[in-house]
Amino acid sequence: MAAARPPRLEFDALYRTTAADVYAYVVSLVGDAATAEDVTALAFERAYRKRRSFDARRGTPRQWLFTIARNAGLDELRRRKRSAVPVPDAGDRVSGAARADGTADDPGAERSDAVRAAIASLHPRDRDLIALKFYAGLSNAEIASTLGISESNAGTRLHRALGALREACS
Amino acid sequence: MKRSPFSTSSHATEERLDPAIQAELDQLDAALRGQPIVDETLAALVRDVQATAPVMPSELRERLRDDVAEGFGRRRFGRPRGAGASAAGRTRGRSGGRLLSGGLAATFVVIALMGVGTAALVTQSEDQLDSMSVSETASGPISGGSLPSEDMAARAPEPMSAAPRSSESSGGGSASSAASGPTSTAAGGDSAPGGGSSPNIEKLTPKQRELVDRTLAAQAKARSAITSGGATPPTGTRRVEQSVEMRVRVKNGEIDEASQKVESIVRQGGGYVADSRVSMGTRGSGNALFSLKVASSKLDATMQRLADLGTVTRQQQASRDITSSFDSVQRRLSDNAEVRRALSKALAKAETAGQIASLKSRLADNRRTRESLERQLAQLRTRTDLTDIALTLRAPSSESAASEDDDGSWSIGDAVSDAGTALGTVTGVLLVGGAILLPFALLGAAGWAVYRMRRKRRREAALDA
Repeated sequence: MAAARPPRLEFDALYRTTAADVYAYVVSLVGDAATAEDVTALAFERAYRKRRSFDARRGTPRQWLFTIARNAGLDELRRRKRSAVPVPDAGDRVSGAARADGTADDPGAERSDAVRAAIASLHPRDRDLIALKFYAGLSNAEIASTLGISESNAGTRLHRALGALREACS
Repeated sequence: MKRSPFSTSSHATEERLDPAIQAELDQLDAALRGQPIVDETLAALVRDVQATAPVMPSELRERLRDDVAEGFGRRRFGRPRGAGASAAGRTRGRSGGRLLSGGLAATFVVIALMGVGTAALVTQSEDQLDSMSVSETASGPISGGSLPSEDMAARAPEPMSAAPRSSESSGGGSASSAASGPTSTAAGGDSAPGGGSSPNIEKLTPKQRELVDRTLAAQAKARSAITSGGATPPTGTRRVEQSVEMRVRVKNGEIDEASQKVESIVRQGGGYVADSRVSMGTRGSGNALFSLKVASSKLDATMQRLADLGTVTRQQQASRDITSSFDSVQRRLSDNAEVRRALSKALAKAETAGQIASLKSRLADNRRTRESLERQLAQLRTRTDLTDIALTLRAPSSESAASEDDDGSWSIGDAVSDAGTALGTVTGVLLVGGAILLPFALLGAAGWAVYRMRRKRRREAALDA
């Protein structure tokens, strides 16, 4: 009896359903919208070139793609550290951009700025977890697989990151 | 920026989550799905965070959509900014990585090929060395080589030398004896019949063939000089001990008949069969091993007759100069005779009983010494008068014989045989190549694992600002 062939990765559909989330996650990771665009594009290109190596038994396409995006973002952060390029403060930059749009007096915008600032103030690892959960929409198991840790460990970390975010927002 | 309180180590415990934590995470998941939850604060936080999600620029979305549609083949990402440069750098990095991988793979292949080639060369060199060692020893003091026979007398006499008369030969006609002339040390030896014919040296290289020819010529010259003496040559005449190894392939089913002929040939050669072992196989195959002693004076004729039994596949002749031993024994015998004469004279003149007893005792010692020397001389003479021949007769099986007696046409059987040979060769090459590559592959795998681990660690370290 022939073994069931693993489902083929529908890259177009994957792109359509994840592009915005990947970008949002990468911005949160690298803290710079311009760099995030490149990293996002690079992540999709890498994913496209590796699409035949995707193994559905090892995770969902979404988790696979975010793992690639995360690695691309981390590579960019490493490169910037090596070349001593300062990492922009995501909170400052994004909130500044929001104010430039003339939304500074809006109470909703103020709340958004506060949340952005709170997220930006988190430790990068906490921010990474928050972004994987809130922007990437990964389950705890998918986050665990992406980070290469156990699911319970991922849950614990996420819980603590959430606590840190609550505290930063309060 | 707050430092996360938890450890960064991977794969922590597999314990179950605290129920309270699990409940909060469940609520978080529900809120992210848009479902109502009890914890209003958490629900508000989820809404706020989701509201702050960076929005993907439409330009990037369209560009990426096009690239996905085109398969990322026509355009590389990169913007005219610093980040664009990094993208280009990444592209270069990928290319570099591919180049590195390709280079490593190519290196492995080259190493494997070099290994296989070296193994083949070593094997070939060993074969060549084997044959060349025979050829080179053939240029020793007695067997001639390029040295004139006059010079040989001045050289150390004892080294064994071998002169190949033919190399391994798989086919061709019957081997004839080499044009080496008489080989015996006694005068009037038989000359080699068909002396003008050359041995089976078709497979030798021109240089080797030239060396063999020169060796054989010098050997013949040396022998003719040696054989000018009698059975007990005077001092200065070379005494040469010879041995021959000969392999003859006889026709299928004729091993028994050929073995009987060997005994007859050896008797004609003034010698005897010292040892023989004949084994008969299936389908007419068989082997016979003989240890023969033949008169050195009839060596060439005997070898020719043995060669006529079939096809000579190997023939090697070695010689050892024992002239110094021979001369030494003869000199000691001569001295012994003089001493004996002197003792006899002294005995004739002896007057006292003590003198007579002493002289008689010395004469007895002298006699024992003489007898010992005469035995040694006889043994040396036997060694030069008789030549050892190690003869192997082989009768192949009918199938082998059929293939050996091939008319040259290429049959299906030949094709199967060739395919088997090719398969064996390829398998051997693959095995050798695999054996060579295996350590490198293991090293490469270990290196790759270490590289991945280090890369992951370095990536994670990027988050430790």
